[in-house]
Amino acid sequence: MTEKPILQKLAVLADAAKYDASCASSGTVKRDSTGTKGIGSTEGMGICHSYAPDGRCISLLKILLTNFCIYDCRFCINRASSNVERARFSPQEVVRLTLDFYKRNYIEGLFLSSGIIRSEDYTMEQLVEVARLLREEHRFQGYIHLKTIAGADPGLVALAGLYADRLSTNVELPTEAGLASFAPEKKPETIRKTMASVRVGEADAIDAAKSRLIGKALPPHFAPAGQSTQMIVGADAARDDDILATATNLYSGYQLRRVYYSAYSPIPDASSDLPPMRPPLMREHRLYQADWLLRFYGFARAEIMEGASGGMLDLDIDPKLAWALQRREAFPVDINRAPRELLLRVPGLGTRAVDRIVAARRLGMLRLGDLAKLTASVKKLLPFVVTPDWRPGKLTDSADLRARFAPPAEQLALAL
Amino acid sequence: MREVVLKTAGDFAEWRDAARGLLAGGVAPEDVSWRDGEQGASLFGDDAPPASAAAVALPRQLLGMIDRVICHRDPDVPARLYRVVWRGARDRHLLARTTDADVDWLRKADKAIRRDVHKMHAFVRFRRLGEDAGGRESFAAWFEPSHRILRLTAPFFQRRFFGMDWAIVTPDARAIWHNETLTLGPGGTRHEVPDSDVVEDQWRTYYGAIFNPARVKIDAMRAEMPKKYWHNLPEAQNIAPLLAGAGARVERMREAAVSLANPRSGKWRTRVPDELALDDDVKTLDELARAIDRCKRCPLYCNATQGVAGEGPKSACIMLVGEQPGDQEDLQGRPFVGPAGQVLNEALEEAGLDRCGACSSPTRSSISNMSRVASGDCTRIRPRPRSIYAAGGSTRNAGLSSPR
Repeated sequence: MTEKPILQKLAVLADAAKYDASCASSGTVKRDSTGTKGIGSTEGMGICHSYAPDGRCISLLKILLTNFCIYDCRFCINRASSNVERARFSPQEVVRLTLDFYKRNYIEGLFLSSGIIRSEDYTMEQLVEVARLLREEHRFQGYIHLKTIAGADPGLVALAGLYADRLSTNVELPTEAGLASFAPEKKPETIRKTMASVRVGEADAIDAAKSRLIGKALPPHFAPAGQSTQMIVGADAARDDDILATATNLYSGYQLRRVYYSAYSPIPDASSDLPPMRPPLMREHRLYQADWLLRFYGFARAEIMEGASGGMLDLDIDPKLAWALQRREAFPVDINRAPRELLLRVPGLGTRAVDRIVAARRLGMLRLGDLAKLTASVKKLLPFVVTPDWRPGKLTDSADLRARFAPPAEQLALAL
Repeated sequence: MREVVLKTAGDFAEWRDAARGLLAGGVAPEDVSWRDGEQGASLFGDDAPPASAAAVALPRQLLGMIDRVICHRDPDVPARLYRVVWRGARDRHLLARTTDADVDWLRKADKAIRRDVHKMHAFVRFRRLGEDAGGRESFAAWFEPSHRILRLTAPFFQRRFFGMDWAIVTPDARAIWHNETLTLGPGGTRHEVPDSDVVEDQWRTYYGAIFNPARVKIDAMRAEMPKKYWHNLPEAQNIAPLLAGAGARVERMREAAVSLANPRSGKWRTRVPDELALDDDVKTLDELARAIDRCKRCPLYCNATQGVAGEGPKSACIMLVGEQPGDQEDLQGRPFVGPAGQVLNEALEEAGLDRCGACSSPTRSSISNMSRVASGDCTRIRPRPRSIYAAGGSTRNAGLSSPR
């Protein structure tokens, strides 16, 4: 069999990788190439070097080592029974591409995943080998995100953590039943064990750093940007409530940095029992908003679900507003007196606006005009806040409050 | 009216020395007119007080903002910054007054500069010039930032691309990294930089392949990658054709009938290891460990990582039975490794017992199932352990006092 040219392999293996939503390059340690005299740096904040017309950031060279796969997960473009074109990079080819792209400032680093070939351990070894080549042979200081193959030997996961900034193991589907039906070879317990071994690696590295003797070298980092995962939304019957329940467990159980929600989008040569519909992008967006409420706004899952119906988030309005509309008795909130936790619950105030309000009100009363300088939209705040020159009066409890925010109903296009 | 003429727009040091002189002379902001060198001095202005090196105490955060905002192209910037400094020297809390008009302006201008810096870090595209005898490669890029920010961005490229030579040319200035030294020089034109690079084909192929035609969101793309940058981004030529073809690609995906399974997949799938069959009648400790791992007799398994099987020699004469695993046991899959396990280890050590010689067996199951698992452990240890210690209340309650 003749070898495919590199351009063709790149087209196949980037196309195969695009269903993984993560492209973050943030949250890792600061380092640069001054000491190594090679190339590469990470500065904490990630950089999106380009944007595709799907609105998604391109920060990393996101490719698969190979899209051959012995598994047959039905939502996946690379499942064994799919007729998609197959290709495989050698570790050296991936290293070459990464360095070529990096030196031209196209990318922050590499996000490498792979179909499962031969065995979980063999596949993981190949991924680790690419990271090792980059770090050790080429002194590459850029960002590396490796997919950890669920079920791979914990020793390989430990090695991956030494080279990579971030590790991720996808839970794929939010419920065990979904996984059993769509991805029979993927076992929830195997996925959890792999996440646990990453978590143990992180904790050990932190312990080692804490108990280091003064004057001794710092022990190596272990995946300093932490671990993340991805769930596919809309391929199975899981409700938003199930999805957020799984996310909450993952955040608390394994200290994940991020859970990504990926709207199931139609794939070429799809399995017949999957929805051939448009990806539920709005649902995905609402899940991310709810996720933010869980992590940065002090909301519990049960509270978020108060604004939902039948376990599904409201698609027309954001989850914080949906919650506030069910909890009118908590409003209006006095901008000049309310504690930070309460300000965070006001629809239209983000964490940054709240920080600025708390800082500014120490130096004087805030009026409605001042709020305009601190937030994007005062209009959204009006029913929920009190300032010396504004009282919402009956507006807070008015029956048509939801209609003020929800987009106007549209007539559906009639099918001809 | 005093008049200050700045020779180089965007030069922080020149502006700072002039401002120090004015502050030392007690000149109020409304009595100064700031002009740049190209406009030349006006006929009517008085000379400004001489530039001064006398330091003025200002909050560090404010100084950092001024250092950035001076790069802004708005010609009023030197004057507005002087007003901020004038007020900042008299009001320690000035920056916290986020609703103040001057502070609001400063923050917005600073944000614009920081965004421009961030976008320059992102959107500079190097093209390869060649390499020297030692294999050190050299690259050049042409970039048009919105403000005069090359001075702010060059250190980033130095930290990142230490191991190669590079030059970034902008209309206002250029930065050159050569012989491990960074030099800033005058502006230039796009013709000084090559107009193509061999890797750009690969980059554009990647850009096209990573795009998902089922999720077109043009506004999101343009918000983060405004059109003004497109003409210096090689991949931007692909945007129009990708968008034009997106609808048809999705339609084709939808209409394509589901084809037969890939004929080779049968062979590939023989690689998937068979799951080890396990019936209810477990015979060995290994089988028991696997049975615990798959146990779904109570809901505890839902949120647990794994079953924690007992460990220790088959011939142990002492067996310890614990409570359900804590978070450490759950993550590591081994019994008695959490804080309580450490206390236990110390106690065992004091008692002169070797833990490896004992057999410990906590269980994940709830109490009713626990006796089942634990007694599974003890009936499979031969000869039967002489003593079994139940650590914790629930293990005692589970009725393990008399192994069969």
